[in-house]
Amino acid sequence: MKALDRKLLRDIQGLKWQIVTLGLLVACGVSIFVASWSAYISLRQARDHYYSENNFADLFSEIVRAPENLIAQIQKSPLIETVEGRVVIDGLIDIADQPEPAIGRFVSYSPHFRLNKIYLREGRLPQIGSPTEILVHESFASAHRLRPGDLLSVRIKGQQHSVQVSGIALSPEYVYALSPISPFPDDRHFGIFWVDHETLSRWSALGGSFNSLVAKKNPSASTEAAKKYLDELLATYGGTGSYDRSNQISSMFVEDEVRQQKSMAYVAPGVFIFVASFILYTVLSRLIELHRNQIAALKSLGYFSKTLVFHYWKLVTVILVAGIIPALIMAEGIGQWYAKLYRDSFHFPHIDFSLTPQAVLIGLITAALPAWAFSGWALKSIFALQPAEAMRPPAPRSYSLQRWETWSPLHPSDTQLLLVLRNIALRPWRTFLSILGITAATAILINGSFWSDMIDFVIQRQFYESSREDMEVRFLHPRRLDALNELRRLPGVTMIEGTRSAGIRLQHNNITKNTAIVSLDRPEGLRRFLDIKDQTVFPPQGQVLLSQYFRKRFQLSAGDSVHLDLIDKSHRGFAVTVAGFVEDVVGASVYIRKKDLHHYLGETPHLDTVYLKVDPFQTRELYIRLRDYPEVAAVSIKKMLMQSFTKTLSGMILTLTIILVLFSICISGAVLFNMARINLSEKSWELASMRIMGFKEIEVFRILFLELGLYVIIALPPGLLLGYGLSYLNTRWIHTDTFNFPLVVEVETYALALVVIITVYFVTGIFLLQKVRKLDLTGALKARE
Amino acid sequence: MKNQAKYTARWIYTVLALAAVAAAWYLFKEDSVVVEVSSIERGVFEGSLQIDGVIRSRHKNTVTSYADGDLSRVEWKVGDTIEKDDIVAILAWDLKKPIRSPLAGVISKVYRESAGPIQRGAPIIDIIDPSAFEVVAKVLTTDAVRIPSGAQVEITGFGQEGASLPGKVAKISRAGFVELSALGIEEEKTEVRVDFLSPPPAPLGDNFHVELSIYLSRDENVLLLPVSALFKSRNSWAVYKIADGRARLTVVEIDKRNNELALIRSGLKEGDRVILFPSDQIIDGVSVKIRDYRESLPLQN
Repeated sequence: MKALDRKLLRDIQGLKWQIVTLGLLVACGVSIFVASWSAYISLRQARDHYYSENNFADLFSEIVRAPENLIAQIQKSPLIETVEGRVVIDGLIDIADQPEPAIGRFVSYSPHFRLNKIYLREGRLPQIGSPTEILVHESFASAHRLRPGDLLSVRIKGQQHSVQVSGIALSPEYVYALSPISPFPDDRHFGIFWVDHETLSRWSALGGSFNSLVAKKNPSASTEAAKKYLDELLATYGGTGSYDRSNQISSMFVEDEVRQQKSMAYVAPGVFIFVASFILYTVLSRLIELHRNQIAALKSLGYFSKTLVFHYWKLVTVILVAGIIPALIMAEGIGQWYAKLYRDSFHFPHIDFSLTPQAVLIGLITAALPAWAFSGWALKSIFALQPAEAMRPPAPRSYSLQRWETWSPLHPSDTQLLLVLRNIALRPWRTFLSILGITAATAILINGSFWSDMIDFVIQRQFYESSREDMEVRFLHPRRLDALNELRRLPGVTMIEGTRSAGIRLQHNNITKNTAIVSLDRPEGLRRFLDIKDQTVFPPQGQVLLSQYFRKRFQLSAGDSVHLDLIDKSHRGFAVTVAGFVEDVVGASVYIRKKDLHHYLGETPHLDTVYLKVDPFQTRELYIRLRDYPEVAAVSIKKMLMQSFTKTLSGMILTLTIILVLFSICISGAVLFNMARINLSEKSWELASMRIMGFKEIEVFRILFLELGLYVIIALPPGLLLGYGLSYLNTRWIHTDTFNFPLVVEVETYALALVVIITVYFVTGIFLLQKVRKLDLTGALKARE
Repeated sequence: MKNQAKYTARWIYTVLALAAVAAAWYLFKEDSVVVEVSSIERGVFEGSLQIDGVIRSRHKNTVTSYADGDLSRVEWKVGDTIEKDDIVAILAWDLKKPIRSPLAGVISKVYRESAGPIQRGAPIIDIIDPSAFEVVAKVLTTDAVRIPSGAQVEITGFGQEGASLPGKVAKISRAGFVELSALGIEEEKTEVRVDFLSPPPAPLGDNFHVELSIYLSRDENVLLLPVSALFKSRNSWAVYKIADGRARLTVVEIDKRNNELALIRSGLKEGDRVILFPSDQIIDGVSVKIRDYRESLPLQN
């Protein structure tokens, strides 16, 4: 056995570069897989543990106002296990470290509450006393470095209250803290606060009543039955319809993330493992061909076939180990990066990333099985041979006239091309797979940088094209048009526009969706709607436009009639015709002319949202003035929103792009380099002969290099297409209910892919040239003796 | 033979090299920012004040009981038209005598309906004169002083889409008052009364909602600039003008501005194109690509 082990070491020595590149490929694939799968498992575990440990409710309902004794009645129902009524109200927070106000969501809290139990990160639970003590959600606390004991000024229903932070807390209800006004998390301008139940009821003028209900249904009861029961009971109190976890904002985002992480674990790793296995097969079959004599000799010396198989199996395993060990290290790194991203946007008490044994095991199997299977296939042919026959050199490949060469239009009159074409024709599978490898590399490149194209598009559409205001101000109640004049007079306001919006429930056949109706006064104001052709659209008189979400998700089309009910039931519902769709990236809204909305709501012109364009040098003064208005419920600053959006995403996207670009360089490099090496070794005899016949090094090199060039040329166009397709699949997989991810692939992305792949090709050329120079003429020719 | 060989190889290398160079050029070339533009045109600049108003009748009469007695049931309803000398109700004290309407008009309030005893001087109904309507608006005192007497007013928003009525400021009250504003702060306001220049159409009546545009100034044949192009640069107003496909920071002087337009005093000339809503991607000298988002927009009615 010792002899074979030495042979193994020598083989490894001889194949060191091939082993490195193959190991790298295996490492790329396995690391993404293990990291994504582990992240998926970690996230799922963190979620399940948190939800059950802190008793996360599974039914939710918002009511205008319901008496507290209703809770006792619901509690008696066999459908419901636990139910609690709370007060949830939004207010404004004045905070010393920033001039602009932040929005606070105040949730009433009582030590007796058993659902959505608060996890205390720091400090203690509030105690009754003066000033009022509150708990602050971790997201806001860390954005503002709040500590227990800090004082804040909050405004609820136009009234100012002084409060003191007693602790930093988390809740399963707000794992993902999203403000009611923006579709992106903005921790500096939105926070969640817990206030003693009695105090908050008083502040919000809801004494003895509740406006938010959370419940846990009886495990044996059906969700639909429980929802129906609650809806019927709460309808008279202005119930807006109960919903389960699948529509609870925070839970929705967590589920989306879990789902996305799972799909991430399949695609890219699949490509890597496939390419690695194929190259391994090619390298190994070539190696075995070269070792034909040795194998025959060993067999004739009495070694069993299985011993020899075991020897090559060990070689394959060495390559796998060379890939898998760095893969696990890389996976740990990628996983920690994921965990950091999670900690930034998902607030779990603990989220620990660890390589789960399950993920490692699956990773090992997915890498090893195809590799072993391919190598088994490569070994099969040699071991079928009798030793005596195997000791003879293999019959030379037929380089004779091929049938296609007689077809005159194709018949190449130049020898170089003829050599290349014959080579391709003799090994169609290898050629095909090599091209496929380069195609895959190109596609991965495009897929990597497609993310930034998409984010750029979202930013352009969301923050520049469709909203041109600097600031959005929302009122507590709809106000008369005078409010517009009032704000117009404020310092620094250059343009102003008021709109009216309302919470609605859209119904079409069996589809129901709680959403908002948004109105505009004119087509080209501070806000505008853009259609699929990137042109401004405006709802025709008496009709509405819908978000593209409804077209994609529910296949609604222009001409359909939808019924809209006001969520607060302040006016009767109405039916309208859908005139078309708006290509918005966020949310699912209904868009209408302002005048029509007033008409349907049966009111004189009112507004509840104002868009402002302001002089940036006077914003500070403007914020201070806005604080004086008790009717101002929320102020959101577009620039800040955009910053928080890009800050969260750009770092993540950039890292992802860099990783994928590196990976794709690995793939294309590995394919080209290995193909060149194998060609060189296979044809070393012919090439050496050419050298002896007087051809120059460079001409020998040219033949090899030309073949690779042809591969690259053939591989690029389908690669570009495949990249587009892969990006399309990505937008489908990561699709959520809140975002309509557009499929945008810019020309720059294709250009980058071309530059990278062609550069890799030329760099491979440099390596190849060195190899050709080192070609051992006598050694190569001796092999045939 | 040798030439041919070189030919094919060259062909492959050229394609690859060209693709790489073209792609690299595309990657490193200067990016144009997509912008929307508007041309500077001459036109009419109107400074105006937009405000909510309420239609009121100038003449309101309260019909009262002229003696202590028993009033018969009042059969009139709010909104009924009443002619002069129509019987409002019958008052019985020593004898039964009708109370007659002193004028023709529309009943705006019924104080009591039931029959029963009534005191002398107690109101029975209010009658308004529908031929003498005016619009009353509560205007901030600081705005009111800017309104020239007799200013032109456009009355809209009474329900008919696109319809407007001409009006004229009749009086700006000098008796101001303090009122809680729409957004909940205290403001000093005063009443501005606007006359209809043509009689309002039939359905309009007392306490009907209208919207007013009170014209403060009118300048004809002046250079107009969309406000959306304006921004503050240091201490002056500026725009980005398009010159040779590039954005050029241009300081402008403006006289007046409203929510849509600004009146240019200097800095731009007719036909200049300026960038609307310049984003932070635009800096002086950046190359721009003009785009129109309004091609498919149907004409508004």
